[in-house]
Amino acid sequence: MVVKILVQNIVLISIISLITGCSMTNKKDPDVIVTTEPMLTKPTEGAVDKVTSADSINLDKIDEKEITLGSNVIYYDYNQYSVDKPLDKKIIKKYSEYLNKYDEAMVRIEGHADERGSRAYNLALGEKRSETIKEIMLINGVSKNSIEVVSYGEENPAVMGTNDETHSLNRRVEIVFSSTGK
Amino acid sequence: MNNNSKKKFIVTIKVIIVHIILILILDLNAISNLKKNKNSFNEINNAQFLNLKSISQEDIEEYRKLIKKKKAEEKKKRKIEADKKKKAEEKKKRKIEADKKKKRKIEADKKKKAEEKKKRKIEADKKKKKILENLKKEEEMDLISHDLLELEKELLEIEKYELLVRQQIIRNSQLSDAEAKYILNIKSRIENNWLLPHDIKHDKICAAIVNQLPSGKITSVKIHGCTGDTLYVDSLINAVWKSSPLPIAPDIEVFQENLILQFKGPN
Amino acid sequence: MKKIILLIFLQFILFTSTYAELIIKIDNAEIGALPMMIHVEGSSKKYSSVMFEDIVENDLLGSGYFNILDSSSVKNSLSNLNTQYALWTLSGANYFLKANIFDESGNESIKFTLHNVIKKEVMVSYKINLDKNNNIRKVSHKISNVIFESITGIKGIFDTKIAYISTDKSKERNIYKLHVADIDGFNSVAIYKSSKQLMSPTWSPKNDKIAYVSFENNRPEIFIQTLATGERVKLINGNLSSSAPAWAPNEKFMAYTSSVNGNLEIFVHNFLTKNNIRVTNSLGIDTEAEWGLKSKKIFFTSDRNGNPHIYSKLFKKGKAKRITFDGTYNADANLSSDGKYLSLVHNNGNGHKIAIYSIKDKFLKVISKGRLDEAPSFSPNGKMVLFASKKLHKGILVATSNDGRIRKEIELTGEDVREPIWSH
Repeated sequence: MVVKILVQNIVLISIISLITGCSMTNKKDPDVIVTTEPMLTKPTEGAVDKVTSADSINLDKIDEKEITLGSNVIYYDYNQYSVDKPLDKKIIKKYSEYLNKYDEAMVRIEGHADERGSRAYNLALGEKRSETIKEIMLINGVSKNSIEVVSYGEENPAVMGTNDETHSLNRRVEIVFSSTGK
Repeated sequence: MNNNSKKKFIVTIKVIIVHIILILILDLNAISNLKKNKNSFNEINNAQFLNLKSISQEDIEEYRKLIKKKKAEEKKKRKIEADKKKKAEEKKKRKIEADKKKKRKIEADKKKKAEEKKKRKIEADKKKKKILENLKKEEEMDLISHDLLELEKELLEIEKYELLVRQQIIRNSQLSDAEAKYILNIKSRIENNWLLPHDIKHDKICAAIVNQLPSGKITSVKIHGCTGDTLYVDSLINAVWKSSPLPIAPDIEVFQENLILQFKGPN
Repeated sequence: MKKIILLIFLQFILFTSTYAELIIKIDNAEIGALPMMIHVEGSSKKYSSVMFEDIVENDLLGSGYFNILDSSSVKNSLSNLNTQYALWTLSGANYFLKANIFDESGNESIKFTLHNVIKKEVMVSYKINLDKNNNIRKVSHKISNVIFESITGIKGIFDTKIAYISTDKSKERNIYKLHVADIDGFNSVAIYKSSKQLMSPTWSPKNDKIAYVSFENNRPEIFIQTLATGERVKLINGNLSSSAPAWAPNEKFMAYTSSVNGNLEIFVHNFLTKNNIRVTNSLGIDTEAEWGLKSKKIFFTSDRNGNPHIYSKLFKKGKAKRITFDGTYNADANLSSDGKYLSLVHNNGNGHKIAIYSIKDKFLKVISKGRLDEAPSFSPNGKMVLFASKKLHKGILVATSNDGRIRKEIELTGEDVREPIWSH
């Protein structure tokens, strides 16, 4: 199910970037997610494989200037901020490679948490998630100046809802290109 | 195996030796017997030899008749002697037996007599003892009959007291029943009226000293040993006043003007 | 000889069977709310007696200490006090609050008397002028305070304030507001409005300022706003973002959380010297500082042992000491004003609930029933807890007695509200 979103996302973003030729901003239209995919499920192992293959296809094909790095979202278990899944590591690696390649590129790592529990702790959780990814990028040689870290805690959920599935979709980090020069 | 064969050998030798000894002994005996017979036989033969020269045929026949007679007489004699002997022996035997019997009887009698004597003696002793004891007892009784009288007097008094006490015990149990009932009634009445707010923990014992009239109407309440905690102390005071008038005592003797209520709150 | 001894013994029993006084053990109390009746008569130009009655009734009922009985049976005012006491006794009330609104040569006043029905005596009696400054709600809450204090000996909190955050989703973009209101949600005033997120409000010790986190610069930063003037000051923390502000009781320090080398750590800002001292040093998350009574110790949430739990530490030195062990999640600690209890968010596999932890007894008790409860805040007398919950996907505020028995939703019409904080 998530496959569909991601693929659609990729397609849409490719179209937009092709048209505008501008760098991608953070302004994602939330309606895209909500209306096109009413039933949302947690990424399964099967889905992971499909995403990987789509991922690699996109990366190889697209022009360097165009920013389509496939999945830019990493998901977490409850209260967790370590990066364990190979797919997630791959995503970070791709971004690290890109950032190393293009000095002027900058990312903002936005950390989020699901709504449960204390708000301030969730803010810290989101931040810890972002910081951990930043650390990995730094280890991969990315310059500190290319990375900005921010946490929104539970304040900016991707999906509204109070069940386990929606919660799992909100426990995430989004790696977003911030406009160069800004 | 060696040992066994050795043993067998020894045994057989022993047996042989024993047999030899036995045979020797028997032979000796036989020989000695034979010797004896030979001698007696020789004597008789010698006696006959002296009279052989002067004897005619008739004499010989007479002599033979005489010998026969003599033999017969001897035989008779011997028989008589034997009989006599026998009789004598028998008599002796009988006498011995009779004597024995007599002896035995005498001894038995003696024994019996001795035993009877002993018995009588023991009985006599017993009787004596009894008599002595009885005497003693009588003496003692004589001695204590005096005390007994006194004791009887005391017993009577004790009985009197016991009667009183029994009556009092019955009365007491009535009273203690009544008192228990009274305590229970007061306790339930006050517990029903004791309301505590939710976060009060107070497990120390606080005493409320309550004064009441016989009608149960409470005239004063004083709290002891409960410091601080307005809500707790107030709850005790409220519980007591709300319970006025207290239940009436079931028995006039059980009524108490002063009550000490020991309140213990929840942990 | 034996018999004589027996005699003496029996006589002894005889004489000792009559006591000087009777000792009775009472140990079975009923736990419950104290029954009270309220009757307000008369009316002012603006307000009816019912309004006073309702506010006082809600206050006293919500505290968990009182059960307000229906007073309709004794509404007829009788002149003879004895008869009144008899009537009230029959009704089962322990206390009777009688109030009268009247006009005294152009000045409106309310006079109230609290009766102890059991002792048949007056406990307190006051008169309050109703004028511009003393509106009905203020006066009623004041009356509740007086009643509460006279009976329980505990400080009344019915005239205190709460702050909270609301999200208005009606427009294109969300509007976030910081509010200050009465404890029953009335008289709510939005003291700050923003199109960016607002979080973690906290009162200054004198209730004259509120510190909170704002995302107006696209990242969490702490601002301190003075209520009287609306003036706002940002807490400077180098160029770092900061969150979870906590005001020290002595007003000299503010604790906050910032990220250092990828780890979330707690710092203390000195208002006088403008210096920042680092308090924690562990891998992972340390946040949500809460001061001890003497401004020396800090309670905080840390996941240094895997799951988030409450720890404490002297902020200037020493090692962190673990406080909570129950469950898999303990966070957002709030200390009661007597320093004896922490209210916190607790999860033991059954959803997030509010729990009270007794520091001395080391005993944790869950007091809320929801699965998405958070942000607990003690009332200034420690007898009630205010927290945020969810009802039909919308945020609500709930006030509960500190044992969880009495639960009351605070009426804040229509808004999606969260993060309540009770003033001091």
